[in-house]
Amino acid sequence: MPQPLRLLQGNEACAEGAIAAGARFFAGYPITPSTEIAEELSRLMPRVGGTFIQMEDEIASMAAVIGASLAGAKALTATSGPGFSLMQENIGHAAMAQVPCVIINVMRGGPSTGLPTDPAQGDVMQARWGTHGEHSIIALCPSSVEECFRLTVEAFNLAERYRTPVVVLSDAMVGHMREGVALPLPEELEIVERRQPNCSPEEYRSLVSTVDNILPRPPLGSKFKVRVTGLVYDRQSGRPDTATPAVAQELGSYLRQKIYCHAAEIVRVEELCMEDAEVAIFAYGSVARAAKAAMRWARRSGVRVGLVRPITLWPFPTAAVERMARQVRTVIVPEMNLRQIAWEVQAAVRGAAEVVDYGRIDGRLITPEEIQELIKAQFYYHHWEA
Amino acid sequence: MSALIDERRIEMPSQPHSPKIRPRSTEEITRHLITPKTIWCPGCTNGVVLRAIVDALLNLHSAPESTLDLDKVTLVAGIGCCGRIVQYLDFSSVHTTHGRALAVATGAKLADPQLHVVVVMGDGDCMAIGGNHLIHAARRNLDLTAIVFNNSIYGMTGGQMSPTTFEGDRSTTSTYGNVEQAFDTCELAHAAGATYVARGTTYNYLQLARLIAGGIAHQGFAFIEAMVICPT
Amino acid sequence: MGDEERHADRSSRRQGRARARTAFRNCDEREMIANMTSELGKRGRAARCAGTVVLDPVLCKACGICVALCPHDVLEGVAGGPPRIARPEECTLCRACELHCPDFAIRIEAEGEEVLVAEEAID
Repeated sequence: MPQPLRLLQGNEACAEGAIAAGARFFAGYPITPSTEIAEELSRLMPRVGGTFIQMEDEIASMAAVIGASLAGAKALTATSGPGFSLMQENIGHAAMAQVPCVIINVMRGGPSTGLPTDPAQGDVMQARWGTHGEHSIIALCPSSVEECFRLTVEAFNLAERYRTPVVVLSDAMVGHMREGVALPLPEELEIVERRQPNCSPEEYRSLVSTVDNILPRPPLGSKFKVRVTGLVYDRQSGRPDTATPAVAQELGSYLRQKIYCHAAEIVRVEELCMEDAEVAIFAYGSVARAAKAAMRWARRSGVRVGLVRPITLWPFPTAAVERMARQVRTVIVPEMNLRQIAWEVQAAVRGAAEVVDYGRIDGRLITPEEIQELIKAQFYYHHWEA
Repeated sequence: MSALIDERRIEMPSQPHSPKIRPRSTEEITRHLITPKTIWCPGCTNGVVLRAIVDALLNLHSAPESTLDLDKVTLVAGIGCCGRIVQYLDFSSVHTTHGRALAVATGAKLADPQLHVVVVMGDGDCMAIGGNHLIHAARRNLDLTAIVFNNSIYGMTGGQMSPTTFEGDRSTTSTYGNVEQAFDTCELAHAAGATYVARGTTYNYLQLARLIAGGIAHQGFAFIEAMVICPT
Repeated sequence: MGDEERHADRSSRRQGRARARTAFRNCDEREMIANMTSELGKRGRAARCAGTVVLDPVLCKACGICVALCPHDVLEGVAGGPPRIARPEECTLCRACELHCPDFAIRIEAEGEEVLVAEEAID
């Protein structure tokens, strides 16, 4: 039975989700529009025996998150565009060293200081490629307050299961809006706990993670010697090895396959009214809300429009997009950036359908009416009722 | 200057600032090394500080009523020649991004206060890119032991000037002589709030080992500047 | 910077380096070890036959630190290679070489009598 309805802000829901997932360490720095996450966690963390610290900058915040995660705590940070840019080097370190952690990026208008209080979706490519070097990452995109809660919990589960940093891409609208939510009870949630090795240190040293069996890393301070580095390392010993080419190739391939081999389990997509759709809207985050309204308006007018909403942005839901492209003739991709994801959709579609992109970067939300106009252009022969 | 003095620090009970140690034999020291064969240049005295760290840990560990558990010793190292120490010391270690060792150490210590966290940084790592984190780690007075291998140069990248390179010194990026001044990092650490500030040299090995032991034993932020030589 | 200034600058730095070399030779630590070992040396010399300087040529990088620091010139530098233990009978087991070797390449092994070190003399 769910809990009673609470009027909750998106950012507050992220904070509650982190606590529910078992997070016991937050290090962050104030930045609009994510500050409420830090403020909430400064209140909630001590209550559950966790630690909250406001660090001197975002670089230190991400570094502290890595340190805390290595010491055994589920750790997270929250920021927006400028802070996300600062964190990139350490996000890469977490990806390379396989440190589970969660980074919540409440996107705002950019680049640089940009539009501090207005929503945008301009960081979606940065979430994938913001840090240098060949790496993989998981990014989730909530479009409601309840999803802020659920996807934060899922982010921690994915981080623990795949030993990787996970980005939650909220935005200024989803983060600041309030909705009545009935949060699930703790026992209704699936929480992935960090596994500990259950063998001797000597045995553990002889084991190597495989793509299907990602071994847990013991925490610092245990009887196992833990060696973490950002250099290319030999996966068995943990010792850096920059001299053997095969080591770098093998490590990089493993880090990619670790996530992409499990894309089917990681990637989640919401499909609405796609069974008979002629035109699909591919939208995520706050834009998906307007897209849903536009789709419902279209259906009321008798036009067959469906919605495909990626909940996981990275790894990109290629399979779902291919499926969609085989079915519909046009995909409309509205986003609050200038076609960052539309490019990915285009690549996945491979000419099987037309991709119509629509971008808005003025800090204002894409309205259902704007999407309705895009739909109308696809059905020019249809008699529209007022 | 009285306005800058924090009364709490004056009232702190006095602690032995540098416990006496019995220097261990090389055989005992190398037992705690992954390998004694280091890549450091001939004449680089990083190895002397490495020995001093192990010596300090072993002495503290074997002292009567010791609370130092060697399994809980965690080394957090920055990037630079001294950062390679993680490949030589046989303790749990984290090799972090350049300049961020103190921030990573902060997270680790807060998540598990039982850890004995020793942070190893070079002068560039700690004072240039990591200067901000030094100020705040000292301000927080967390129980960390920061050891800076100060050779007044960026050794690993080929000899560029660092914030502790003296005015007039030549380096690969101060071809006509450094026009900037060095600064006293111990003063900075002290002003920021460190409660154990020490400077030793690899020339005075026993003193250095004692200062490091004192820093590790100290409950609070310990900052030890070890002057090392870069002969290259 | 004019020629004259550059020359003055160079010569003052040369003087500085010369001063540093002198200071190095007269440094406190070396003097202190020498003073201490002259006392303990009476005992040490009696024990010197029971102790040996052991050098590991694989680890040694021929940096010359031990040669420079030995208060009794037991070691002799060899160009491009590990030092030669020229006067083992002069060794007073002070362990300055062992403690200052960055590569763990030299150590003093004593049989019977414990190796003495100048820890009392510090501080």
